[in-house]
Amino acid sequence: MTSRRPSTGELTDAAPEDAPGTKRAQAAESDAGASAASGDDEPGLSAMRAVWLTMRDEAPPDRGLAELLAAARRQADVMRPPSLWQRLVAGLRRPPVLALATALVLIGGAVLIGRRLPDELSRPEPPAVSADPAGASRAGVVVQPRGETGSGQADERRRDPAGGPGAAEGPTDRPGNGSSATTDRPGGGDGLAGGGVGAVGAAAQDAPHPSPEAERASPRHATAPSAPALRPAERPLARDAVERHLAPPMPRARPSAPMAVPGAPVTPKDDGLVVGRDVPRPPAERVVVQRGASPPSSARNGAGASKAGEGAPSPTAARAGAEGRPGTGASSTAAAPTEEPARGENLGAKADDAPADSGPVAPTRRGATRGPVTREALAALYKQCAAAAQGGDCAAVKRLVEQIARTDRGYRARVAKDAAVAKCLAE
Amino acid sequence: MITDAADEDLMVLYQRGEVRAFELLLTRHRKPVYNFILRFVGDKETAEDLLQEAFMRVIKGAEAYKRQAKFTTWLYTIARNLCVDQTRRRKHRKHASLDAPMDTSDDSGTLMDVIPSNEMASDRKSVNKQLHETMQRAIAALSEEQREVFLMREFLDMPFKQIADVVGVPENTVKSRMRYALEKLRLDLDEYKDVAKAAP
Repeated sequence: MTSRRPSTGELTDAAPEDAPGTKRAQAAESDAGASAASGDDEPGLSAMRAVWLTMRDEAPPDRGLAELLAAARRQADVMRPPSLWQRLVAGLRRPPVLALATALVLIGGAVLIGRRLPDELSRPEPPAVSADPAGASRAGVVVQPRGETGSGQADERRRDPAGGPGAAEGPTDRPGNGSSATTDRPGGGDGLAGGGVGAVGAAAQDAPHPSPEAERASPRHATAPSAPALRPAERPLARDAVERHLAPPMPRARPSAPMAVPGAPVTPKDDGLVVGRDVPRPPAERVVVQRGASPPSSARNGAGASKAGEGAPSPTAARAGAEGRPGTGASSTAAAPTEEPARGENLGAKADDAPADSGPVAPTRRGATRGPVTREALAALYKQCAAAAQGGDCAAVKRLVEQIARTDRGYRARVAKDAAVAKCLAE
Repeated sequence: MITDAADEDLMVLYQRGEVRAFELLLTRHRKPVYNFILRFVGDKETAEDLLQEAFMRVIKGAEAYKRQAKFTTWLYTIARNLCVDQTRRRKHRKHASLDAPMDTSDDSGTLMDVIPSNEMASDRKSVNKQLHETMQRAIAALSEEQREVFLMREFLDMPFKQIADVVGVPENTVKSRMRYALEKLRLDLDEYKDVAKAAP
């Protein structure tokens, strides 16, 4: 489409604006520039431009100006950058910073704990603990030589990482912590194993264990006061410290090794597995059950013996140690710390009732003097119970069963074997 | 001095919460924007509303403003879009006929009667006034695309490049539209050419 250039009057190929053919015309005319577009070269148009340039601009009314400024202030408040504190707080609340802070807290806590450990280890152990290895003698516990019981603590830990360290590091103030698993093991309990070990295990960890020779050589230790119990928080650390300082070069017994006490009564086990069916053993086999038996070390065994009034390692564990079975004994029982939480108390209660010659009584962590309960006494109770049941005196049977139940929680499994007793109990 | 700062700097200051910067921008651009809108839509009341709306949009969009953009380009783009929208809305309305009587009575005049005639006035003042009115009618008679380019080029003295940015078309298209706008004005105002030459 041919059209006339507005300013110059020349004929061009320019089509009306924005038409499909206008691009070429625009390209050709683009060089003409603003002067051609403004029409400066045409006198008539220049005169008209002078007219519209003289047209006055009208002033806008002030209506709405206040609203405009108010809106501008509101928006300025929104856009105003936050203060330094606001930015700091906002920055701290960002997830990466929170994660960093969490990591710092964790690392700091680890460092703090790591610093406290050497301090605890370097803390001097209580003199009673270190100087009184006589607890075992007082308890009448005979520690089997290392050659008989197997390896020591290191060996035990090496062979039984689950059991040994577990017992060594487990919470010692937890009742029932210790050898319950030992008694549950097939063949592990034969009347003396298992229950009640936990109540004494901590004591066994706290004091050195004398060698059998030392016990025999110094019978006065049998009446020596036991070492005071350490604070619960100190026990594991102090135990290790005691091990390092006091470990004598003597044959060491496994922690769960039976400490045969000549003439000492047998502590009944309260896990209810074996005690009832046992007959009294020869004095050489009598042991004091030790609750929560510690990892094997001579020092620890000695410590256990110092409070051995609470018990000694079970013969089951002793046999396991003698056979060199890994994971047996009290150390392996720490894996089941809460199986029977009240064992120790039961044992202690029975120990209070035990005769004075039934064995040494050492203060437990709970403060009471709890001695071992003889198997004879328990067996006598069972016999009385059976006799009463056969005689038809169910009231006496129930009374005796209650008496037995204070010591032996597994009494039901045993008394139920007797049909007469079971019948009385069923009534 | 904040009063000597460029528009872009003032806008950045306003982004930081400086209300004074926006007041300066308002002072600088309120009048030219208003006149651009007024000449575009041809109605004062509508022009006031559109001016208010244009600056409100500036306020709302201030947070997203980038320093790289020219403030006047942004401002007149907003104003032009508002004007275009207003013009398109007005097209759908029914306009009053210039020949129709304003009243139902037979002797009432028409709108054409009250609009100043194109006849030349005797004195200079009236001639200028008549020229201005004629000029406004001629500008209003331009197409929308030509009018916006003409107004920005002749009254706001914008370069073609900036007009192209505001309108959103290539620069050559802007020049072409300008050329056709001038051609149409020349034809419409041809009879006033001599009067314009004689005008002071």
